[in-house]
Amino acid sequence: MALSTYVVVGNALRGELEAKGLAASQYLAESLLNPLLDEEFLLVQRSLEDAKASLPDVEYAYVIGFDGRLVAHTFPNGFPAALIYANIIPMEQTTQVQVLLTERGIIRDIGFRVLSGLPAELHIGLNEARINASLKHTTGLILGLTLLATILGGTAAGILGEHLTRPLGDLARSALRLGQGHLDEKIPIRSKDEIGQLAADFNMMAANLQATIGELRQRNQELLALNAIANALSGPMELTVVLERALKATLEATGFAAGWILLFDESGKHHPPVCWHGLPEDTVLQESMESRPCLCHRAIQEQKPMVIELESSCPALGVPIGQGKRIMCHATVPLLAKGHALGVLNIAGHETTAFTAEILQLLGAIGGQLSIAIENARLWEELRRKEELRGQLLHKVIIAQEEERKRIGRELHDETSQALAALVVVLQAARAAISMDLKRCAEYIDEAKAAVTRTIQDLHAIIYDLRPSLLDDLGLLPALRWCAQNRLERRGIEVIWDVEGEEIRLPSEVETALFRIGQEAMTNIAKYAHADQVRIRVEFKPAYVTLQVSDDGVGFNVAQVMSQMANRNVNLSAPSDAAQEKVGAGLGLLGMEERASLLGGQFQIESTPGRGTTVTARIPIN
Amino acid sequence: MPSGKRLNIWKKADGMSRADFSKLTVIALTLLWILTGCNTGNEEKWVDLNDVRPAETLVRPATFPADDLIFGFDRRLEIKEDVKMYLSFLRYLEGKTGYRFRLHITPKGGSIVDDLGKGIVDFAAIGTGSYLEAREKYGVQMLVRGLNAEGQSEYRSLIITRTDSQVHSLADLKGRSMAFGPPTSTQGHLIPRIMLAEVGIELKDLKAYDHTHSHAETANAVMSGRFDAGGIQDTLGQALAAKGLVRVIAVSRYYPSSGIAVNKDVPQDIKERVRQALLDFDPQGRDKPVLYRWDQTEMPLGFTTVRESDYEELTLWARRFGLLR
Repeated sequence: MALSTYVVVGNALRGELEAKGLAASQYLAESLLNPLLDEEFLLVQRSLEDAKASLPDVEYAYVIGFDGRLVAHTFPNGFPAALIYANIIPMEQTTQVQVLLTERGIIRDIGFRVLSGLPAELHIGLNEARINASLKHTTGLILGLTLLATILGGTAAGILGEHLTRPLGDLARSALRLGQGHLDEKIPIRSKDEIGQLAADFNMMAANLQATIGELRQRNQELLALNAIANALSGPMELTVVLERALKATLEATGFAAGWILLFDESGKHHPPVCWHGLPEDTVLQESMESRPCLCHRAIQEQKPMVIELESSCPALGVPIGQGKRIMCHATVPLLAKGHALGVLNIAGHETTAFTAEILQLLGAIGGQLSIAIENARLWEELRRKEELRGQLLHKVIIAQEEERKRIGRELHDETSQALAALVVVLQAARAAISMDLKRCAEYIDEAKAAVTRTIQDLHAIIYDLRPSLLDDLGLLPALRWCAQNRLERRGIEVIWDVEGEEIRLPSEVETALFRIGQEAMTNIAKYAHADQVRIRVEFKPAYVTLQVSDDGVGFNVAQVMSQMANRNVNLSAPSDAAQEKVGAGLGLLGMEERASLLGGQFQIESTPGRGTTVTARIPIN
Repeated sequence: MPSGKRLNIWKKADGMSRADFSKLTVIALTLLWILTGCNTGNEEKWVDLNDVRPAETLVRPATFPADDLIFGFDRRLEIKEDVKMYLSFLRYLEGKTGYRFRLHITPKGGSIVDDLGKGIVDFAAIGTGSYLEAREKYGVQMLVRGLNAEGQSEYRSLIITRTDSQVHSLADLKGRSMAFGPPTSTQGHLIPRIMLAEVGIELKDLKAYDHTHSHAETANAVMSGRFDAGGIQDTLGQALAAKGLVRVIAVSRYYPSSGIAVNKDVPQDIKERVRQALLDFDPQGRDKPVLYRWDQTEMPLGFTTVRESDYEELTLWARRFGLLR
């Protein structure tokens, strides 16, 4: 500050000195112009001396004439040789100031062209000594005042700074503690100013951080639990084992001691818990759980996890769950798939407050995973069952092929072979008689001819049984009529035909499928139904064709037969006659259903013991 | 602060970084530089004031080129006024011709006729009397003639007396005293001499006569009563008469006025270019801004062409009066 003041004031004083010198030079030059032009140099000399005497700070003055010679000057004993060249004014300028360092101090040489366009110059030397003396005095004064002000200001600033920065320091240390994770420490609020507001904001921020961290931890716990559940549900294990592992993982993740899982069958009926954990090995309890209606249904109806406070009728009430606690309530998590209840996951508790909203949310997520696992397991089971049935069907086909070969072989052996053997005997007899009795010979030949004709008819029958050429040549209805004639009418069963719509030729695979379905149905009627009358209805529609075969025979329990097939209760390796018949009928039904489904059609069988059977197949056309 | 860590004032102490500190320093220095005047001024020179020499031995080398054209003038007004007028006029000529001109000031007692004739000056603004002498002695040529305020290139002279004088005509001047202008002055000397001669009065017929330095001095001499009459330029005499300060007793015929003359040795192309520039001179219009009080001159409206024959009569009179030596 003192330096700035020194420089600024010094520059201002020098500028003022220059301005004063220029004004004096201009005035003096105007007064010197006439005597200078008239070469009255004595006048010029006196004017310079008067100016030096009257103007303060003027160290010297001199005039250079039009010819470059010194006209007048104020030096007493000659003129300084270097001075005449020290400040030469360029022609395009009228003034020029040059700072000179001399043994008399710093001198500002003010050069002034006497008249613009003429080479004559007036120079006045202004000494800065007086300015510098004044400047030194002023600077000393300013330095002293500045030093005093600095000491006083520094002291005041220190006191004020300590007063102002102490709360800030406290706040900074508290903020550092917050940054190090001590979020539970509150910053004391000592004032209502900005610092107090900042402290309050820090406290609010810490609270928010705590809440956020808690949420993150909770979320992390949920994710860990879900991960554990996912691990438990993975792997090609049986559903029961998978659910047991999932239940344990759920209890570990939620911190509860006991729980169980109930599954419902397709009719919604309870079954004993498929798994449980933390409960005493008490089958009575488990069976009770199955048989007694429970408030768990409320959760299923609401389709969300709920906390059930147990009533006195609930078999789980009071069941010990360790650590001297008993079941007083439980959380029920519905296990749902496509809105359909698969079962419930129950987590036992001692008091309802243990089940927080977060716990219920987590249990809901776990329930979702369990539902998917159960649904998948059931779908896999269904798939496995169908695969097994398909294998059995294949086995039946192979057996049927063998049976058909046996039948053809037997018919060829019993009838065709015998007929041919008889034909050989007749022909031998004819040969023997040809030389003795031509009439007899002709009778033998006629007999042989008749035998050959019968044999050919038998062979035709065998061939038609394999695949009637009528089906390929004339279509579905003629083939079915031929089959009904051979399979039913020959056995005295009346056949009533009911054909709707215009008969058309169907795609070959459709005609074949419907023929085989009808052939199987008629075979079953002939073998098992003991029917007197059969109604065959064929309906031709633009989009589909329907074949329905109804009889008034003994009928049978469809569900039982199918269930036995599904549950493999039939021992195929050592079948009894009755069992063999059931297997044959069952596999025949499955074969018909398989043929219809392969073409995108529907197959239905309706039968009641004592009230006949109706088989319906509907196959779409294109 | 944890132990083992040093306080780094550049990084985090008080929240100021090294970059912040640098910026603050630059700003402070810039403010100081601005406050202190941004500059330290001219380069200082050391001069030994005790190393003195006789003043006459110290000469600055000439700063003007040697091929400058030199312009002189007849003194008519206060010398610094003449100088200021002609300096501004030379700026016009420089701009018009492309030549550089330098003003020459003929010292008191010196002769512009000799300066022009001897080639000390190349061109000069001179009166008719000076021109007649210069032509006679040195073969100087008149380039152009000036146009007065009425647009004429001729002027007249008046003979004035005090308003209470007993002198009422030129004939009354016999035996009286009379003031003339400088001997080279046309309006102040030559024409009044012609006016007197035409009525038969010669210098010897006067009681006394003297030459002043200017028309103003002549008027003062008459009004103060030191002389009975005086010969002065018509414009000044009429102005004084209109104010009732003098009385006009005679008016001369018109004679060629002042002009710009040239040394005979100046190359012809330079003469022509300068002549054309003078004829193009428009002091009341286009060129007025560069001029300094040009209306004080005898050629306030510029210049016109000139013929040598215009000066025959005056030459005869001047020879008769012995003015052309």
